[in-house]
Amino acid sequence: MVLFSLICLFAFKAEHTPYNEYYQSSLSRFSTEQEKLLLNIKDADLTTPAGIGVVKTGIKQARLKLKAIDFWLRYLEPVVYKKINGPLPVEWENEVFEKFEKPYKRLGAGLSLAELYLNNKGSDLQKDSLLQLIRISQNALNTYTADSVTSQLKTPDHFFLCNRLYLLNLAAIYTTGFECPDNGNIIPELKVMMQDVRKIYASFGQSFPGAKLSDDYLELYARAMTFVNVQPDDFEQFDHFTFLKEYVNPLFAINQRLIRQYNVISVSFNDYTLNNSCNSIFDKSLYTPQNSMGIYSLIEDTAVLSEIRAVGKLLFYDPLLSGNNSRTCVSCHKSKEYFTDTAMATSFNFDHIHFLPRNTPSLVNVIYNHLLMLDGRHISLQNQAKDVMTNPAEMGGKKEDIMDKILSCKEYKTAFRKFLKYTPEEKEITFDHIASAITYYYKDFSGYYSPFDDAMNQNRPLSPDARKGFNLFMSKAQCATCHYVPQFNGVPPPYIGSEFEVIGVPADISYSKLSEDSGRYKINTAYETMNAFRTGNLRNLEYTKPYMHNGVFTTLDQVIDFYDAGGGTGKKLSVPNQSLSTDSLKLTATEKKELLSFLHSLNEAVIFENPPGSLPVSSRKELNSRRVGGDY
Amino acid sequence: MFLFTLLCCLVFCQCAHHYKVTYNIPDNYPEAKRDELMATLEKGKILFKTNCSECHGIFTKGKADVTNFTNAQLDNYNSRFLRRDPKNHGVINKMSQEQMNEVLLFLKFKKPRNPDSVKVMPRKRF
Repeated sequence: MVLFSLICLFAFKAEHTPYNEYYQSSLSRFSTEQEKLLLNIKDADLTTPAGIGVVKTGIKQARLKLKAIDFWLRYLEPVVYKKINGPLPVEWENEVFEKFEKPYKRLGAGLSLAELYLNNKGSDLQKDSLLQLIRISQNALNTYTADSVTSQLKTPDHFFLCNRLYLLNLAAIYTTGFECPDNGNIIPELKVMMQDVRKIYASFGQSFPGAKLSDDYLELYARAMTFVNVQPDDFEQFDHFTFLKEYVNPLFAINQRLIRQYNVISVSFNDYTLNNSCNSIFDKSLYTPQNSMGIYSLIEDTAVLSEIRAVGKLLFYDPLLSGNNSRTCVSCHKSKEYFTDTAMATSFNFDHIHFLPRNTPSLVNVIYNHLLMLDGRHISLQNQAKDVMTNPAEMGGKKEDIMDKILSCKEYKTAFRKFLKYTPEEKEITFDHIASAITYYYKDFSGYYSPFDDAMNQNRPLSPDARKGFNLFMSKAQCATCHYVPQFNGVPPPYIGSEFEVIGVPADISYSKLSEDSGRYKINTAYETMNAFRTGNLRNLEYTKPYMHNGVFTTLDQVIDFYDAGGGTGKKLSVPNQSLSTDSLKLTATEKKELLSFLHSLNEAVIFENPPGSLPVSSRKELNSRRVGGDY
Repeated sequence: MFLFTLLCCLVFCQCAHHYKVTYNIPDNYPEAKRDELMATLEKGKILFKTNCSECHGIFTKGKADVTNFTNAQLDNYNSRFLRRDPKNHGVINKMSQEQMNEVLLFLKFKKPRNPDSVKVMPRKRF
């Protein structure tokens, strides 16, 4: 009985910490605001500008209350969050721990979509549809008062992980207009959100005195708020660069330190790829990329690993991997051209007459994509490598044939026999041993940094034009709503999924028609995925022309012009499901120049090794006339 | 007598060492895919034996308080792995997705050594 009372007392106490109370009351404030909004909509005459204005004001008010709790909502139940503030009506997701499964369809609802609906529907506006978008959000909010969620609030762990995601979002999306249809509200909302998060910090500090945010964190956060408060409300005038460099990134480093110090334990998939020992958002260890080791994953012996790498390098340059003993990986991924082919829109087919449908991607930074190929058809680097070798249009080899040829070389055979001992689950040398050696070799291409990273990580100077260009990138040019900090690829925080977008790339430079490649649709047949492609990485752009999935653009000016016009739709092509804004960006010539200057600051100091001097000798004499790197 | 004890010990050790794994494969598992499954299970077995068994048992006595993976424990372990729980030690975080799948399939389909102690039932991952 005494025990029971004690348990009750304890439970009672835990429910009523200042922190928990602040959580519950903040949730109620948002809920009340949404109730008001629902009444507003019911009463409003949506055929008049005044009526629409009333609803818009209601949405604006509700958004502020949402921003006050975004810190928790986005982390604690990320899937449910899409019903409260979804960026798109329909999203197809395939996250890193679910790569083996089919993409999930997620329906969005909530304030952003309601606002877009209000802006875009014109005379078709249906009150019921608008009400429904808010009702779904209001219902979804109940999830956050369920025991399964609130029980996490009883220990400090979730707080530092929520905070990490909050900081990553400050870096990548909160200042860019992602999930905020009215650009005028972005910075005002940011100002309010930062104040409200400080209230969360305060109530947390009261309830968990043993696991406080450190003084240096709170002091820097206060300075960040001061900085933001004196910034202009126009997100185009906001100094994104300084905000990220001087405030958000150092706050992230302190929060990471606290995660380690307090031995924070995650119970959320949000943290699946994030690395607790990383101290900068622009450190390439921020999130776990593709597994490049494949079958060799469990090997720790560095001497053996460097032997595997050396064999991988030989294979990368060895024509034996192809069906005609002349094509190699470097035929298309040229080692002097950032491992892409800058001379051709798309590479030659294996027959050397036709062309492949898609541009050769650079292998630099390819490991930071959770799904591979522009349609995301492969979930691992090894599967992708095996596909290229055996694809009749690419290297045209046959698995058994390649194995025979490789193992006819004594040097390879000895090496793979040795590696076999380290993979006891395999009875014999397999195709995976070959593919994994290649991927293990080329992952090193992704380990380099750019002047922009150096500015963020090491306080190196960055040219004023590049800084202005970054601020444009994050605001007016609308690049950052799809190319996320820090990789500038389609992987948004918390870096567990790759995104696809429909931008309406033309088949030719004269925009006579839309490219016929259906893209992601080939893998996941849905209206939204027609002509969708995985968002590309913007690092090393200067050296990786031509651009787009079909290599249609040969200069970055053409690319910027395409986006400036509003993508395919802006260029008068019919792209009914375009996910890119169809409005013109109205960039000036100076702005375009600054944007280019920023993009050039993403050129990485990649060190290109020389090709191997020679290739292993085969016991089959006819194979020994092959050349290092082969022919095309 | 001493010799006899020694012999018994040896025989016992040998038996323990040569514990032969058998599998519970559902009757409706497609005939055409069985060989492929058996090859996967065999790989999983070896991976488990080499990397996990010292502490998690099955092929050894294992260590006290370390799970030997009933199905419920396995699901729990898998979800902890998916959450990157730092209490999960390094080996499993190093494995490739394929290797991880092989080990998990092995543990799922393996017949328990003491059939009464564990109920084998297919469960969804989450």
